Amino acid sequence: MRQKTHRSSLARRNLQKLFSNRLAILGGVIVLALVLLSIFAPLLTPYDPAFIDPTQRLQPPSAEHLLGTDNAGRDLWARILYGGRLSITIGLVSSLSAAALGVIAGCISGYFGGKVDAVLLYISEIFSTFPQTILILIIVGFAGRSTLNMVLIFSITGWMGTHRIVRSRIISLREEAFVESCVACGIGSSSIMFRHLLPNTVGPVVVSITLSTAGYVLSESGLSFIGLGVPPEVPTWGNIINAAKSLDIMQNHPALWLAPGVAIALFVLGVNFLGDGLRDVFDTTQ
Amino acid sequence: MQQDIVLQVENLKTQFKVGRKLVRAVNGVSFQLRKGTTLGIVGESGCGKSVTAHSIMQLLPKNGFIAEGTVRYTGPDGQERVLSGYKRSSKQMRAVRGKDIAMIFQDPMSSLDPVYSIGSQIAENLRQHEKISEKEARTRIIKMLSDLDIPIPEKRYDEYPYQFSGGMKQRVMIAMAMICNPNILIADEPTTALDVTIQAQILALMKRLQEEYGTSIILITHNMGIVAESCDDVAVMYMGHIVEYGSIDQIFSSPMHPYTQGLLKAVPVLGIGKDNKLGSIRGSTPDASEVFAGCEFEPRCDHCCEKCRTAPPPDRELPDGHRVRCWLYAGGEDDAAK
Amino acid sequence: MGTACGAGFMLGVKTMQQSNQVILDIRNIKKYYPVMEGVFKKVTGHVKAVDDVSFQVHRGETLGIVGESGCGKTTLGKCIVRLHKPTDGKILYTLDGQERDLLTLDKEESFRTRRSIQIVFQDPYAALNPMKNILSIFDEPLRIHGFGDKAQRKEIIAEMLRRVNLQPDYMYRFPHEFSGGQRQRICIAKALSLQPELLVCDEPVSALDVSIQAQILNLMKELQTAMGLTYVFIAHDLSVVQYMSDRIAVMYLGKVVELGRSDDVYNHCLHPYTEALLSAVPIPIPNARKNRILLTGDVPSPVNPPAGCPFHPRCPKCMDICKREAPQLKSPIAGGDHFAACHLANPISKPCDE
Repeated sequence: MRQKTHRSSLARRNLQKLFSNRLAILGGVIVLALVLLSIFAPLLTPYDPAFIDPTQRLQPPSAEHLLGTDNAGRDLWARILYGGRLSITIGLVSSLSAAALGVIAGCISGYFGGKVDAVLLYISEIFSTFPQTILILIIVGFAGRSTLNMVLIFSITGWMGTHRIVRSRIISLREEAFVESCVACGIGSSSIMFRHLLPNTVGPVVVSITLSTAGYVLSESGLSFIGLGVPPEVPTWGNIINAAKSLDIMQNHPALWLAPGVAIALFVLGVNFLGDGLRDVFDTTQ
Repeated sequence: MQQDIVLQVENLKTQFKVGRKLVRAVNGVSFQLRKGTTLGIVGESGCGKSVTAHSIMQLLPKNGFIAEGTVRYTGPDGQERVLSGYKRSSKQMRAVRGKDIAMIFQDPMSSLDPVYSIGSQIAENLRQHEKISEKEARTRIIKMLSDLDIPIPEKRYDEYPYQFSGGMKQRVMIAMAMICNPNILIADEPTTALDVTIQAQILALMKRLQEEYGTSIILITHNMGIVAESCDDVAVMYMGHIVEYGSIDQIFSSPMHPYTQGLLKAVPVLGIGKDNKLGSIRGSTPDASEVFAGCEFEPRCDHCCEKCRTAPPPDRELPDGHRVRCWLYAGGEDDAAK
Repeated sequence: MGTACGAGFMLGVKTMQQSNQVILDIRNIKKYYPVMEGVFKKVTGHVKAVDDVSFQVHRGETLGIVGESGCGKTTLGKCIVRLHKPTDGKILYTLDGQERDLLTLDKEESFRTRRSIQIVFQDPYAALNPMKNILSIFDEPLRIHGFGDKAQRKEIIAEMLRRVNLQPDYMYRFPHEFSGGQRQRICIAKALSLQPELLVCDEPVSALDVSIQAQILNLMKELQTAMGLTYVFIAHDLSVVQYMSDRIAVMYLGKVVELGRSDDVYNHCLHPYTEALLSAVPIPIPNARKNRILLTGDVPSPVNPPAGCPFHPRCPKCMDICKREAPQLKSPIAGGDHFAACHLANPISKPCDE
């Protein structure tokens, strides 16, 4: 039989499974490329994305300006690169914090059940029915437009989905023998919830995070487009499209809306492929 | 073929395509079923006994197929049919399934459709094979249910599976199988999911049906006690082979194969007492996709020799019909101590 | 309670002879589940999963609990380990020479006694967290009960794996890498790593093949002798229970209907249900059984237990009194140790001892 020590792990097996899925790899590569481009923005362009140069307004793509300039004379390629930073960060941070809230709520809901669960479900329903846009309008009205406000709103309005996923997974795992085994050993509730049950819910949650990241990037673009997102000088992909909102620009300077559009589309597509791959990995093992 | 043999399986090999692997679930199985008797196929999980039954009925899943071998069925009219030659959902096979050969499964809970009444499910089977009216079908089915000791059968005909207990559901399954008066009944672990007192009822019922209707039964189980009490002949399976085959007296009184011997010693017998020790077979069953050059049981056998590792053991049949697949009995050349 | 460090653990081989010391005293345990109906969730009845069960377990012995589905044996086992909270009754457990009611302990004492009573479950596939390797599954209970530092705990784990005939370096593997039999060994090793005195085994071999079953049963017997354990062995297979147990309790519909020494219950059973159960078990010897008692009807559900004796609707020896009055668990002989809850065995007119 086996003589050597064989350190294997579920993680390694999952990774192997993921790497055999070509679409997932493609998605991962796309996402990674966009992230790297954003991180290394200063190395990839000499221009400052906020530098306004009225003499260079609406220049077409050239050797000097790779994608041309916008109607304030700012280099488009630089704005795309730096804009990526903010868009991706907003997407990621929002989905991570929404997931964190949802996971904690789901664990408590699922493990304790009863009244606690009922209360949390009620709160979750209230939040679900509240329209996100109205909430943003209100908060922007009071506190102004900022990245932090947007992330906050996304988190507060986005935890319910994860809550439901985690809750149902925990309810199904709660009666399992390995949980009873923990109770029989005297392990406490919070330890059981967060150290034993939570890792078993990682699968669906990771998938949810990847997919909602893409969702939030789109949401940010949408909100910025209607003027409720980050301030217009700050470059985000949504803001760039927002600035290209006139008929003249749309017809005569297509780079101004094509470039950010393509960036958003690529990112969302890549994340979706990656998310699908992750879902396949976690689905069959669990 | 002898007059009283209803089913003859010769060198059956069934395989499954799992991903890129080929799993050899049944590796050359041969046996006969004599009319009016019960053949027990016994073995542990993964030995291929269930797959053998499904192969006979051509009920294998999409990725399973009969690679080699024949299954020959002889009906009461004396006509011989080669079942392994029929396509899965061909007219000929469907005519045989349910009418000539019927099967009951392990889990009565999931074997019945929850949205139809049990009566209508049995009637569906009956009217598939015989051209009779709904009313006549109902009468016959109620008679069968009453035969099977289901109380108030007229009322229960219209009830749904959830209204029946496990033992009752299994009786319904038997009714469904027996309604067309099949020649062969294949029972795949019919009592594993049932309590022991209910199990006793079901086994007694099957014996009574055999006496009344002359049905030949193939009983698949992992329980040696059930085999000893309900069967006439036994085939012991391991890793897709029949390692020993004979009458129950032969197998239980003088088991020849080390696996059979180990199995019999490992079963706790009621009345054995606390101070006796159970024999056990060391190691565990290998994975079904593993391929062996020699005997599959060799890693766990205490009587093996070099030959067991390198060459597959031959089937040796004794004059009284007792058959064993082991190098220990391969006439003359045994170098292993018995 | 002081910490039990690694070295002490390895030397601590206790050989315990079967004694008459009572380690566990179950008194009138009831576990009822309310049946709620209607919009207002009105309680219309109770499912009496365990209905007034009392017995004692002696130190070093194996008490087998046997019965069919719905008899309450698993619920009872989980009540003993306090995975379920009984509706009523006392569980008196002797720990460090002191007898206390497990159901009225404060939080700290309750935590300490958890170490001493452990459970092995039926399904080895569900009993181990698939996300954790064996080392981390074992380590946490050892850590919270103060079994020394990390290195000492690792040594304990290695020793326990050796004891169940597994290689110590298996501790780095994950549950999915083991077979059913190996997983059950791991579960047994995990339960025993805390050095319990009482082990509740809830159908530990039902999910295993016959040859693996024999390995596990033999292992459990060895460990019992080596570590001085007391077993409460719950199973539906009477042959297995009889092989493992010194005394047997037969349960039906939440009640104990017969209790006695293994040989007594087998050779001179008192209750008609036990008789039917014994006669229903298939024996792997051809022509061994001549007459079998076949019970009519189904195993009843504990939702609506019959009045009087719970077994009377199926009993071949049912008398008039059985339909009216539920029999008490008594010994027909004064001072005897073989009990039955049956009017036939204990006629009302005859004075009996408890």
